[in-house]
Order: sequence, then structure tokens, then C-alpha cells
Amino acid sequence: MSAGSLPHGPSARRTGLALLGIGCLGIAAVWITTWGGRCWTSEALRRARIEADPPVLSPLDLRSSTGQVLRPWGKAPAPARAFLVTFVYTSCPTLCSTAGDGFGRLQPDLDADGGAIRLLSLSFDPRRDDSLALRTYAERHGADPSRWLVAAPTTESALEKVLDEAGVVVIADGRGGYAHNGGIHVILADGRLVGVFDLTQAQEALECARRWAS
Amino acid sequence: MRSTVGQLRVEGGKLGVFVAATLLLVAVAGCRHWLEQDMARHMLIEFPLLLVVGAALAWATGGATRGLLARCNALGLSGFAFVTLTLAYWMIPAALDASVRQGGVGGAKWLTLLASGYVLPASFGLATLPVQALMVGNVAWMSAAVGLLYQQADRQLCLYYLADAQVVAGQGLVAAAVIIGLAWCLWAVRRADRGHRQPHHGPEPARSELLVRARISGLPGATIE
Repeated sequence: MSAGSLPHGPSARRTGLALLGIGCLGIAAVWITTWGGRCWTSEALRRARIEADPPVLSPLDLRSSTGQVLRPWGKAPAPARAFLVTFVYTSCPTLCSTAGDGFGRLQPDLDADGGAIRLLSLSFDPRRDDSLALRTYAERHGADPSRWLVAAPTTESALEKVLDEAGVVVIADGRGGYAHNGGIHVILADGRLVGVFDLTQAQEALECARRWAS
Repeated sequence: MRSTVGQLRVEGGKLGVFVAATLLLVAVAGCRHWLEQDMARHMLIEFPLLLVVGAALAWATGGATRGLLARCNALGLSGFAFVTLTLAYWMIPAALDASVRQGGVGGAKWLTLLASGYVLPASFGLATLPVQALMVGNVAWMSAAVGLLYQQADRQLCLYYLADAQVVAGQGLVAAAVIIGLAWCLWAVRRADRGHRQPHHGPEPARSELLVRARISGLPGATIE
């Protein structure tokens, strides 16, 4: 064999086999990581996994903007058959505010369900989100406590567990705030997280909750 | 006597490179958290450092695995395929996130990048210029395409990196693609120029390397000692 010519003989066969092995390994790794080539980001992957096999979230004790202490899921009798949940921090100027506006517009649509489905804005920054901050957020977005709870967890360890189970990642944005994967989470009374929707898909999230809660 | 001294120098040099590569690896491991906190640092500093460590270890450990690798790496094709697939895989946002979140995946990333660095020099030595061009062009094109995607995505692609960091990483990948492509072109032109000026000074490096590998792998027609 001379330089520049195609390989032949045993070396070519071994190279061919090696290429085949490398190719198969590569395809398998990509296939597994991307859920069969359908999800190229972690968020898409998270939503696909939740849809395929809803995880059960641990119980979480909350204190609401009205001073109420409650456990929204994992305890009978539950305050609702399903919750539409957004994870927020009240000083957020962008995404969480948009989430609040979306929930504000969705409130009247919940009347048809007779209290079976409720909204929950859940703070992942309980240290800064005290009762006053929660109340201010609720008032700013016109939250009606009978349909929409604005609350923070009573213990950070329980919150971290739930965030981990739900696949919500919160990172500091370097400007005193946070960046996180948002969305509307549909959580049933037994703690099952059955769907995650974009903030612009509030109606779809409500339909999903109705389907599961009926 | 002279050859013994030369041999000792080479061995000493290899030992020095081995120690330096090991120290660099330990330093990268020590800075891992800092490196992986930012997307650009993760992809544009940690990745190349691991490749460099792998390449240095390959040079320092020289003959130990060279023959074995050469047997299934005709024209450097297997090595290049492994490197290209490894780099492509770790540019997938879900894979990059998993490498930060899960220790096992992070370990796999380190191993595959080190292995890529390890096989790269030998693969370049075995490859002809067109094969090298294919490999370099492929990696450069892939980096540029992913870099542009990172910059133009309308949302945060990785859960562990901010959208701003994603844009910076994207710009860095495009810059890296240009630098890699230009550097290889300059190197190829210089090599061709040198070969043109000195036609009678023995076979060109790639050919020489190839023939030595061929001898090791016992290919028919390989007679050079």
C-alpha cells in the first residue's frame, strides 16, 4: 500500500470494523440521549419523559400570600383535584411576570370546573419571598385566592426535592435574579406531574388538567 | 554513545511531557467546577485542554499503543471518525447538560475527549492530505453550524447555562471553526511548499509515518524498516 491509496488487506478490514463499531456506538449514544432523535435539549427531554411516565412529586408544605398553610398534593383531602403550577420568584421582571399575567387571564375560565382545578404560583426563592412579597405579587396580577394561590414552601429542603423530581433547574443569573426552565406544570392531587406546557399554552394546560381530573 | 544519549534525551523529554500532561489534567480537574460554570469556558477551554492532554499523553506513551491503534486506523479514518463523533455528541445541548448534572456522564465526557486527543496525532500521521482536509473541514463546519444555532436560538438551549452565555459560546465556536480551518490550511500549504523545495530528502512525513505503521501492522508490500 502506498500513501494516498485506499487501504486494503487486514488493516482495511479492521478499520472497516472499527468504523462500524464507532458509528454504531455514536448512533446509540445520540439515540439514547435525544429520546430517539426527538429531543435535543434537556427541557424537551424533560417534557417527553414526564408525558411518557409522570413522576410523583413529594408532598410540599406551603405558606400562601393570605397566610394560609396548606399541602397542595399528596394529602387527602386535597385542596383541588389538579393544580396548574408555575415556579416563580416574585422579584423577577420577565418570565415570572409573564406567567402571572397569563394566570390572571386564565382565572375566569376556572369557574366552569367548580374549584376542581386551581392555579398555584410557587416561589422557589422562599428566603426573599416573604408574606409581603407574595401578597404584592398576588395583588399586582389580580390573584383571586379562591382560584389562584401564590405561595412559598415552608422548608427549602422539601422544595429542592420537588424541583429535582420535576426537573426544574434554577441558576443564578449573575444580576441578583435567577434563570429557570419555566412552563405551566399540571400536577394532580396525588402528586403526579402529568404535563408541562409553555406559558403561551395556558388553555392547553387547562385542557390537560381537565382530562386528568375528570 | 551518541545514539544512547539521544535516546535518553527522547525518553527524558517523554517523561517530562507525561508529567506535564498529568499535572495539566489534575489542574483541569481541580478547575472543573469553574470551567463548567460557563458555557464558553466549558466548550472552548475545557474541551481543547482535554484534547491537548490526550495528545500529550499519546506522545509521551508513544510505542505502547501506537501499533495496536494503527492496525485498525488505516488512513486515520477510525481515529478521525471517533474524534468527530465525540465532538459532535458533546455539542448536543442535552448531552452537555447531562455532563454537568450527572457525574457518570461527566466522566464519560472526559474519557472520550481524552481518548480523542490520544488518537488524533497518530491519525494525522496516517492520513493523507485529502483525508485530513475532510476531517478538519467536517469539524470546522460542524462547530460553525452549532455556533450559529446557539447564537440564533430564541430560547435557552441548556438548562445550566444562561442565554447570554449561550450566545458567547456560539460566537466562540464560530471563531474556533475559522481558526481551526485557517491553521490547517496554513500548515498544509507550508508542508506542500517544503515538500516541493526538498523533493530528494526522503519521503514526506505522512508517507513515512504510514509506512512505519504499515510495517507494524504487517501489511503486504510494506518493506521500509
